[in-house]
Amino acid sequence: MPWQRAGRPLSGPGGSCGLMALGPLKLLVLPLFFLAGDAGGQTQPSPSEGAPSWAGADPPGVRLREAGVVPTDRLRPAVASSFESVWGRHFWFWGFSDTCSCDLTPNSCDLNCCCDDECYLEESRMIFKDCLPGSYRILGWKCVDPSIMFQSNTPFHVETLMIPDSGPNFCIQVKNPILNYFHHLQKVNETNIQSLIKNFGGKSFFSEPPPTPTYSSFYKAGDPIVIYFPKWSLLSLLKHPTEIGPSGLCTDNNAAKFLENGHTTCTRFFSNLTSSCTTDPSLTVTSYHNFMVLKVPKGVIDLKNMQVPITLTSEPILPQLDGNTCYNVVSQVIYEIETNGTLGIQKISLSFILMNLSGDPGAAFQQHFTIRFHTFQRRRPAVPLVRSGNPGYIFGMPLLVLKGDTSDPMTVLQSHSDGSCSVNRRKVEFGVNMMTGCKFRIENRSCDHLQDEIYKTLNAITSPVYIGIMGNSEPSHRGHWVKAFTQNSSALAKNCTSCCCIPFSLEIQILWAYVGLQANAQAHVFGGQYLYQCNFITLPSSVEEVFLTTFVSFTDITKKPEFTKSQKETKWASIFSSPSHFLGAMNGEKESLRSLSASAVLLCVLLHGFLGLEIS
Amino acid sequence: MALYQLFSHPAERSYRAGLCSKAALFLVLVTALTYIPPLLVAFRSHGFWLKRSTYEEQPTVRFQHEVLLVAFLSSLSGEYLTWSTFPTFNQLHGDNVRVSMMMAREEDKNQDGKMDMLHFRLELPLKPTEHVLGVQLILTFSYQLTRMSRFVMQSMAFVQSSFPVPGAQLHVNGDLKLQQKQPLKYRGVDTRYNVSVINGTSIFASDYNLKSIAAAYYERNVTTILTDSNPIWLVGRAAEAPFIINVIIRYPMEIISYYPGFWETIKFAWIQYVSILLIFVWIFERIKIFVFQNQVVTTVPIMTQEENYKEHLS
Repeated sequence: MPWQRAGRPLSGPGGSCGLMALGPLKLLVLPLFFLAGDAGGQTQPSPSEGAPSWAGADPPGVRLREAGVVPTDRLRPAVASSFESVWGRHFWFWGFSDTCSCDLTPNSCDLNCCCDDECYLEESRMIFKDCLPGSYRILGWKCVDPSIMFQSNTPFHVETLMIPDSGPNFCIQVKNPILNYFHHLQKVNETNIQSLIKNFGGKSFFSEPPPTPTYSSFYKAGDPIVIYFPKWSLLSLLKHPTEIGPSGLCTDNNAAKFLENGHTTCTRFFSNLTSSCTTDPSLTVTSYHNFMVLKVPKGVIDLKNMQVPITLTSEPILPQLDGNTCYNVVSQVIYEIETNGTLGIQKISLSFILMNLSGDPGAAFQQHFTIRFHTFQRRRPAVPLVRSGNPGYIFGMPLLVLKGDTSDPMTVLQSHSDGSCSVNRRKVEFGVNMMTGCKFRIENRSCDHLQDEIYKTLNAITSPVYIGIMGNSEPSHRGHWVKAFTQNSSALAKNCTSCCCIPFSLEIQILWAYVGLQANAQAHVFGGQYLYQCNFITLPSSVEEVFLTTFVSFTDITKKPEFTKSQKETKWASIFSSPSHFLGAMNGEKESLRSLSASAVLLCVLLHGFLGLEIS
Repeated sequence: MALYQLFSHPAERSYRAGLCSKAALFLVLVTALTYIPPLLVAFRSHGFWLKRSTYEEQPTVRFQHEVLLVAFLSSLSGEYLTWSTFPTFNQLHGDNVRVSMMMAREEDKNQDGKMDMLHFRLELPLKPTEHVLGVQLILTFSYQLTRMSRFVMQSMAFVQSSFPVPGAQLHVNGDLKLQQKQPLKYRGVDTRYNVSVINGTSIFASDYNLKSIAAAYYERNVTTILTDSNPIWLVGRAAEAPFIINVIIRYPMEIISYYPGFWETIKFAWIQYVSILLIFVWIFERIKIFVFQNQVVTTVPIMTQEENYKEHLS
C-alpha cells in the first residue's frame, strides 16, 4: 500500500528526512491520503454550529491568496476552527461569499448578515455577534509543517499559509465550494415531467387514485359483499356497522366480509333524539333491508337474475316518537346468509330486536350487529356451541365443568361496582391464574344458613365438581370428566359453642399436562382440588362484612421426555456446532459441522508446518 | 587485541530415532498437547465463536407522507377528531373527521444523500368550543440499511401524549431509533418487514384499528420507535386558532447488531486460538529441547553442520 508508506514519515520523528527521500510518487499520493482522512467521518462545520464569531477577538493574521478566483477585497478570511489529527492539521477558513444570500431586505441592513453592503460596516464584527451562514463560504485546508512537504504536483491548490500560533504551513486546499457546481442541469418539458417526478421524487401527500373495483366471478372468504339499491340504481357493499375510533361510536361504512361471522357492538349518540327518532336511518328497520344482495360479484353485469332479496323474519315497525321517548328503535340486527360454494349467496334473512329509547334531549345506546353465514340448507343452531379446544384445551378458553347434564364454563365470584358480591360470575380461563374477591354481608343469619350462603357464593355448583379433562369433553361421556377433590381447612378450632366456621376463601388448584405427540401436544386436565379456608367467628358477629376471595391456579405437571434433556446437556460436543446462525445458510447442520471440524484440523496441520516442528 | 562478538547464528542439531521408539511416542504426545489444549482453553473460556457483532450506519429514511391523527377533546362522552391521509379511514370516521393542514420537509444537513431530519407540522382546525387534551399520531417511514445486509422495512413513529389542560400546541422533538430484538443477517436482502404499517388500501374498519396496528407492529423483530418521552405542550389557544402539532424527527446513526458471517467467525476464533497456542508452543518447545538435550529419551544426536564439515574433510 503506497499511501501507508507515505503516512509513516508524518507521524514518525524522522519524518522530514524520510519523506524527501521518497520522491515524486509519494508526493502525489500524500494529498490522497489527506482526502482519505477527510472521508473518514469528519464532521463538516455546519452553518448553524460553526458560524465564525469575531466578537472581542482580533482577526487572525492570515494571508490567503487566491489570485483570479475571488476578488481579494471581498475575501476577509479568518481561521474559524482547526484541529489536529494523525493525518495533519485541518483548518477551515471563512471567506465572504460573492453572492450575499442573507441579504433579504434590499436597501436596509440585515441583522447578522456580515456581507450586506447596506450595513456600511468597515468591520462587521463590531456590531454583529455572529455572521449568518449566507455571509461566508467555507474553504477547507489540510496543512502540514513545510519541512515535511514543500512541493505538490497534484491538481489541488496549494499555498504556504501563515497560521496563527504555528507559523508557516504547507497547505492543500481540499474544499473550495466556489470551484464546485451542481452541473448537468435538467430541462423540464411536457414529455419528461412525469418521468422526472417518478425518478427523483419520493413519496408526497399526493393521494393515490382509488383502485377501480373489480368484480370477480365468485366471492372468496374475506371479500366484501356487493349489494344493489333498486330505488336509486346504485351499487354498494353490504355494511356491517362496527365501533371505530377511541370512543367506540358506530361507523356505518364498514363492509361485511364474506364467510366471516361477526358480532359487533357499538354506541350511537344522538344530541337531539326528538329530531333523529324518525329521520335517522340507523334507527329504522328499513335501512337494513332496502337493498338486494348480489349472488356473486360478477352479478353486476346481470343484475336482474343475480339479485337475492332480503327476507324479514318479523314485521318491520317504524320508529315513532311520543314525548321524549322514541319507540321501536332498532337495537339488534342479525343477518343470516346462506351460501353455496362458488355459486355465492343463496338466501339472506334479517331479524331484528326493537327497543324504546328515551332522551332528554340527547341519548346514547348500544346497537348490536350480527352476521352469520351458513352452508346452504344446513342451518346452524342460533347459538353455536364453542369448544374449549379439540381435544386438548386452548389457553385462554373457558375451563369446563359438569353442571347437571350439560358442560358449563367454570365460574368464580366477582364483585359488583360497589365491591359487594355480584350475581354475575366470572369465567375461569384455562391456564390463567386468577384472584378475585368481594364483600359479603353477614346480616345476622344462623351459622348453617350463613355457611350455605357463602359456599353457594364461592362455588356456584354443589360439590362434587367434575372438571372436563379435554376441551371437547362430552357431558354424556363419563370418561371425559374428572372429579375435583374438596377439602376444608380450618384455622385452630376454637372450643366454643357459639363459634361458626365460615369459609372465607376458596383455592382452586388445577393440575394439567401435555399429552401426545410433542409436535402436536394437547393440554389435558388431570385433576383439581377445591380448598376452602375457614375461619371462626362468633355469632352474632360484631363485623358486618367479610371478604370472600377465590384463587385459581394452574400447575403444569408435564414430564418432559428424557432425550430432550440430554440434548441440552451436551457441551463439549458443540465445540464445532456453536455458530449455528451462518450454518443455516449452508446445506444442513451436519455438513457444516464436518466442514468446520475439517477446517480446524487443517488449521492445526498448517500451524505445525509453519512452525517447523516436524517429526523426523 | 580485544575481541568482540560480531556475528552469531544458531546451529541446528537433529536427533534420530526409530518411528516406534519412545522418542517418537514422546513427540506425538507433545504435539497433541501443544495443539489441542489451546483449542479447549479458547472454547471453554467462552466467546470462541463470535455470535453477534455490531456495525454503525446511518439509515436511509424517507417519510412516507402517511399520517394518522386522533385528537381527544375535552368531553365526558369521549369526543374526538381525526384526520389521516387514508381516504377509507376518513370515510369510516364520518363526522369526526376534520380536514387538517399538513406540512412536511425532510432535510439532508450534511449533503451526503441521506436525510437527517424531518420537520412535520399539522394544524387541526378547532371550533372555539373544542379543546384538545390528548393526541395520537402515527407517521410512517421507509427505512433502509445497506452496509451489511440490504434491510428494507416500513416503519412508524407513534406519538401519544396528553395534558390535563386544553392545549394549543404540541411540540415533539426526538430521534427515530432502531429497535432490534434479533440481529440482522450479514449479507443478502431482508424484506421481511417491507409491508406497510397501515394497510391504506383496505376498506375494512378492522385494518385501521390503532390497537391492532400497534399489536402487529410491535410483533416485529425489528422496529423503530420515536424517542421523545416528554413532548412539550403549550396552552392558551385563541378562539379560532387551530391546534398545532410540530414534530421534528431526526434520523441518527445507528449501531446495528448482526450475525457475523462464516469467515468473520473463523477469523475471531483463529485469533483466540493462535494467541493461546503461541504460549503452548513456547513451553513445549522448551520441554522438548530439555528432553532431547539431556537424553531423557534415547536418540542419536547429530550436529548438521559438523556433519557437512566432516563430509568435506573426508
